[in-house]
Amino acid sequence: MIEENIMQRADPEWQRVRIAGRVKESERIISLELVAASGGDLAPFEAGAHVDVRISPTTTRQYSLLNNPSERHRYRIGILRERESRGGSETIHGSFLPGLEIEVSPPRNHFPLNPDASEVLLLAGGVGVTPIMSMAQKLAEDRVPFTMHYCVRSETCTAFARELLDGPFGDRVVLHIDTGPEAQRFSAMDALKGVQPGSHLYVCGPGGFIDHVVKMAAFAGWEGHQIHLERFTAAPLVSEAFTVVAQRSGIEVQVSVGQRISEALREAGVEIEMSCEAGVCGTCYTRVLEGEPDHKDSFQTNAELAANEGIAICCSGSKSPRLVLDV
Amino acid sequence: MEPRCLLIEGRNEAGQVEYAENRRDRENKMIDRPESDVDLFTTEVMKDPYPVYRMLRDLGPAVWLAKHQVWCITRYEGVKRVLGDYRTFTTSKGVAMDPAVNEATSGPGRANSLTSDPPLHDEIRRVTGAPLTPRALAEIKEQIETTARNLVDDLCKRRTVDGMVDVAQVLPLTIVSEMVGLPEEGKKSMLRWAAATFNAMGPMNELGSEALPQIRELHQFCINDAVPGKLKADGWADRIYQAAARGEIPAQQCPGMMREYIGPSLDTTIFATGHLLRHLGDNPDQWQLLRNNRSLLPGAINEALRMEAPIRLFSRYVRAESTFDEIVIPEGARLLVLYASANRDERKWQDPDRFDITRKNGDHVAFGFGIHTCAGMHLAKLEITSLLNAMLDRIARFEVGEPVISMNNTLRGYDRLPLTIYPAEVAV
Repeated sequence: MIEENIMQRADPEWQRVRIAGRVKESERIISLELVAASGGDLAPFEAGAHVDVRISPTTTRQYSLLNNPSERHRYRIGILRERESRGGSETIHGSFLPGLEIEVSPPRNHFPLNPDASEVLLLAGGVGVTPIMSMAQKLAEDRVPFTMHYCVRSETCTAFARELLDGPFGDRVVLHIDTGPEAQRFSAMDALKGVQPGSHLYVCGPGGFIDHVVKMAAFAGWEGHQIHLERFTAAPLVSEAFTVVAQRSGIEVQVSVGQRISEALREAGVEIEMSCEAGVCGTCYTRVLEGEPDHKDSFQTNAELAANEGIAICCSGSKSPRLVLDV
Repeated sequence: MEPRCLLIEGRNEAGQVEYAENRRDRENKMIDRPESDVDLFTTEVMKDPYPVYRMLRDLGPAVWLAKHQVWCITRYEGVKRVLGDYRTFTTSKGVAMDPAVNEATSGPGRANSLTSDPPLHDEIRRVTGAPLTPRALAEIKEQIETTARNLVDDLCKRRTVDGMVDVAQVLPLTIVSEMVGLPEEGKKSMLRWAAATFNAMGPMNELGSEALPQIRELHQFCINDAVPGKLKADGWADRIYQAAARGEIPAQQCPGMMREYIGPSLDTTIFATGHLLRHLGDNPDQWQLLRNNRSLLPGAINEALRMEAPIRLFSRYVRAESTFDEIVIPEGARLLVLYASANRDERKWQDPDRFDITRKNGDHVAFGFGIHTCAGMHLAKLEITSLLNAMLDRIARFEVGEPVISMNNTLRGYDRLPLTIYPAEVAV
């Protein structure tokens, strides 16, 4: 499975753009059309790409580009006003009005289409529709057979649905409304039927939607390398270094990016019993005394994972800057 | 069924599995590869496989087995690499040698956690592995220990016993088969089906071919009889269907997952126990060491597993061309992972043929390595630990006779192991 971390980024060369259009697409989603402030072409992008949008000197947010990747004169982005806004979407909804000039990074793509796909299944949940829309346009242009399923909560959440259904590939788009009639509701198992060796699946949306789709895809016979996903969530702290305190050993170690907790502890002389080194066997299960693990194992039950009482130190990380372990 | 050992698989444009000769020819044109015409599955090799493994290891890290038309990975380093890289060396196209067996045991609705990659693997393993984590096993620890003590009391009275039937089989057959909770006729067939499963994973020699009807019987049983209502309520097997009812897995997946408990839960542990008994019997000094220092028990169990991996080999499908010391294994090939050879690799182990319970041996590969590491590992260790603790409490020493080697394409173990027991003097 290819999981994209949309928060990784180097210092971009910012592009100055002007808000040329602003449309209320649904109750909580607006779209913005961005053009180069100086006129002319913008940096090119691929289907699935996103840009960083500078919202204030200290705040940037990532938004997927939803228009046709062959367009050079504009970027289109869709912004959901989040209920628990960390300031980003709130500001955009409140003050990003037509005519305003803002800065965006060059497009980056962590969610690219596989050029060798013989057929494609696109699954979008909510505002996750944005990168999927650019993919659909690209696939239609390249004449790659595809089907797109777009799932929304209710009638008031159908941003871009008209544009999609009335557009040139509207016959390949299926809209599902959770609160609508039974017959049209989304069934992952039905959508995922008939996988071929050359099939590729792209899924974007809320975490629960992605988890469900990926799980059912696996059961329906999709292999890991055929499944591509992008999550729309704030990045967890897994990509940052953290401190592990081995309480019984009286040792404190820094776990650097890309390092395993078990490695850091072993290097510091703590004896660790390990077996699979892949988070399945539970040999290295260690009690957590303080802090919040970032679980990556696949042996603890969901209840155990939620309780955060223990961690598989061969593969898991930490969501908190400090993790105290009973070792 | 026609015996067939073509192991280079692919799919042609119609989507059918291709066993075409041209693939084999292409293989044969490749030069500069270590090659051997040894048959790993003859009675002679099964009786004493270790010199053959050594010969293969000395030929190279990867050796083409002309007789079976398959590659094998011979050394510890290579085996660990293959097991640690599930993306390149996938199990999702089966881990057997025969293409038909692989078809029948992998893919949607048929896969279990062994024959699947993440994310499917993780979903299945979370369900089937749930009763087998160290935490979950704490609940049945006392029951296993009590049964072990009663067993050893009985052995001390009988003195002359069979180490397999009377000793090694007892805990798995009385406790584990009960925990799994199959209907009676299934419980009785578990050992037979397990042996057939492991035979069918090898080539279609006599053992492999004869196993196929039993495999069909097992698959039918999983579909028709290992179902809620017939399964022991809240047994491990029943919990698979409970997970399906909660929507955690699709119901169509349950019969395949059932095989995960039926295939490997009994005789792998039974054989491991037999190996430990034999080696401790053959090495009374090591038994005395253990009697004097009980903390060496985990090392003793690991040492028996290192010396005699109960599962000799499984296969993997090669998804991308891979190089082992300049030996190129092409995409689409199948390779055998020789766990039993890796565990005796002199490049990794000093004096590898010596049974030494004090050596650092926690990283043997008898349980595998990586995401497909044996799910029953902690249960197996708990059973063997409980038995040995009870023996160490009551038995001064024991002698073993010549074992009868079990003939199985995949497993190494004994059918019989004569055992004479000398109980410790009971202080009055």
